[in-house]
Amino acid sequence: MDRLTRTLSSVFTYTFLGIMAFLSIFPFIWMILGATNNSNDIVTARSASAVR
Amino acid sequence: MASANRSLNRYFNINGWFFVAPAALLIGVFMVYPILYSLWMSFQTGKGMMTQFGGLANIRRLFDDPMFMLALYNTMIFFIVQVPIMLTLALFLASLLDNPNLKFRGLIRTAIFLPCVSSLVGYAVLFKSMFVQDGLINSTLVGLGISDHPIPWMTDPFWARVLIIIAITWRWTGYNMIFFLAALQNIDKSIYEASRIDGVPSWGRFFYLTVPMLKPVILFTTVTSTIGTLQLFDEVRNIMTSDAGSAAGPSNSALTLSVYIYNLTFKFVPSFGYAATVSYVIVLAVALLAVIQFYALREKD
Repeated sequence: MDRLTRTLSSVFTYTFLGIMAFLSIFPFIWMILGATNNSNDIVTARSASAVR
Repeated sequence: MASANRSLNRYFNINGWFFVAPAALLIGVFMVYPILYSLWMSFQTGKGMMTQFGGLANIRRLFDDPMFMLALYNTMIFFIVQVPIMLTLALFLASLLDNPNLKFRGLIRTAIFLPCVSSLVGYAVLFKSMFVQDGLINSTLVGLGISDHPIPWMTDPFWARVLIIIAITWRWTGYNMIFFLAALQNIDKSIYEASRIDGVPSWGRFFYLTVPMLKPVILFTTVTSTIGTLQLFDEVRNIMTSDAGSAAGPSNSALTLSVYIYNLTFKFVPSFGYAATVSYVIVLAVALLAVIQFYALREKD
């Protein structure tokens, strides 16, 4: 039981921290993606389709 | 002997003043004088530079100004909703990252801290591009089936406020987390060992050991976050600016006190005196909230 609790706690910790780290750096990735597009592509959201 | 000591003291006093004088002069000219001058201006009425002493007219005007009341309401909404969410999240993240056995600890810590090194205007523009009607966030939410229609982040008063709260939380959570993490790393681990031996559960250790020992840092982050939220300007100005010229969101739903001061000074017919009065409302609100927070989080023996 103790081992199961520890495993679940570990899974929760890594998942939560992973999601938070991803959410924190994603806008920077998006900014770099935007920097590789010209203004028209950004306005017409073509850079978004590159991620989809 | 006594006269030698006196002349030595005078020498050190003069030298001390000589070193302090440039800094004192700069603080006087660039901080104390503008503060006092704006206090004087807050009693002036009139448009542009054509002002005259109006006594308490500006303060009376505050209570009859629906726009000011709306700005105050919005600022308080941001303060009441955003600050607790951000600080709770920061404390939770810090307590998870305080585990020395955690893998990729440095990497995760850096990633979460990274937003606070971005420029205020830069991240605000970035968030605006991500949250527009046909932007990345709406495309993702609709694509994943989380929402059946694009969320009107920029055109609905409720969602405009939510967007501002998301943006500020993203920018400042990592900054506050670092303070909590530094404080957590200074707590003696033997206290936790002793409580573990005594059979205190992990939630008990958090609420009855960690939180009380972090009180000074919680107070510091609460006060600085309060000041930051009451001075909220860049995000609203940059995210909510539309082609029509409004910089306060739909139905002025994101109008904050700082944006209102900007509008009174630079967008409407300049009313410097009234803008100075609104500025002093922020000063008083910050002082009042800081006193309440100091009282609420004071050390009890």
